[in-house]
Amino acid sequence: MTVKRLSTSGSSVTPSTIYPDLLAGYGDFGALQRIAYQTVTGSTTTDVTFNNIPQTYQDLMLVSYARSSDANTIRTMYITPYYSGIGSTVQSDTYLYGDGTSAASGRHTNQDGVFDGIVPGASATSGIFGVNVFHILNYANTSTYKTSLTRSAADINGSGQVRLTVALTRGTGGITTINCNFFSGSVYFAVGSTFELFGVKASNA
Amino acid sequence: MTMQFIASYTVTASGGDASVTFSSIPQTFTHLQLRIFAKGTNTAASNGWAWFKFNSASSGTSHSLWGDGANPNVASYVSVGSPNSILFPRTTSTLMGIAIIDILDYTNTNKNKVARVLAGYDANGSGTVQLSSCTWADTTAISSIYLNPWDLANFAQGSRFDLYGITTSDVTGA
Repeated sequence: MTVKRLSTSGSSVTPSTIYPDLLAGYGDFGALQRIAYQTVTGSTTTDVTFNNIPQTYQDLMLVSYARSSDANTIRTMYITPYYSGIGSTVQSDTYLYGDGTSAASGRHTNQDGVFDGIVPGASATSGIFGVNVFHILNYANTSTYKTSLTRSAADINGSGQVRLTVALTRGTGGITTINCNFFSGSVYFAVGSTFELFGVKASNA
Repeated sequence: MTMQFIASYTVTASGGDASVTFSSIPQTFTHLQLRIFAKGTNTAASNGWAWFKFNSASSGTSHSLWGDGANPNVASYVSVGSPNSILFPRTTSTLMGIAIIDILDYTNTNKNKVARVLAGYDANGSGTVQLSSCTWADTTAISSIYLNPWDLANFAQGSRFDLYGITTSDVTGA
């Protein structure tokens, strides 16, 4: 099916677009498909959670554009994959970051959450959000632990941080839930923060 | 922009594979992305380098920046046949490393080919996370990608390699 865009006068405008889900062999939107999308609208949102993640993709990618109510300029955000019954303190990570002055590396072991995101806090200039792109490969397989990789950045015009994080979830079950939070009951996501979960298929069907 | 699946390879041999090659890569995309889930069979150390090349190139250069949980580190391999650029774990456990390699404008015959690597593994107390570049001073359009496990010995059973093409235009009939 061809969908034509109309001009203000009502005539069709070229180029016309054939949506890929209607093209034989190309599936819905090729290999990268949006699973779910959330925008923070309440001022006391502590968690953004994606539940019941389909087990039908090869990889997952989560893109967040977020900010927090934390009093500091920069705040770490947790992006934690898990499944029901996985147990506690099974998360760990290794990170590398630069803050405009120096570079450093560190790690966390035996945690409940993964310290892999960066977002501006309340003392950052209004309207500045941080970007986090989280990948977890082979998330549905049931024979290996799960490894995720996150690129994070927030620049506050004079301060900020850029960070790479790799994390391990010590469980062999398929990942069904990804939770974003601050592990604090008093730190909230800013209104307008967005979270978009994609599936990466190993086919175009 | 759309992302299209091109090909996949999973190591099934119990002893692993000594290399992985994607050949006859279509020339119809704008960029390529290779997504890897892998580890090595040589357990003599906790990790080891792997490298990749395009077509039949004989000499490449890589630069890497990685964190090991204590310090940032850098390394380079300049004009060598094996420009190591990806650190994978070497372990008998259920732990795997991951890598995402982006290769832009891969069909352009006026540009040398450069790839960006994001990779890492974590072992709850050890591990690395890294950013690397790898350059092959060759303007030939990329039609094959060869991956070598170098001091991993082999890519272990269960290692998986998925190649995608990325277009910068809609899939359109216009």
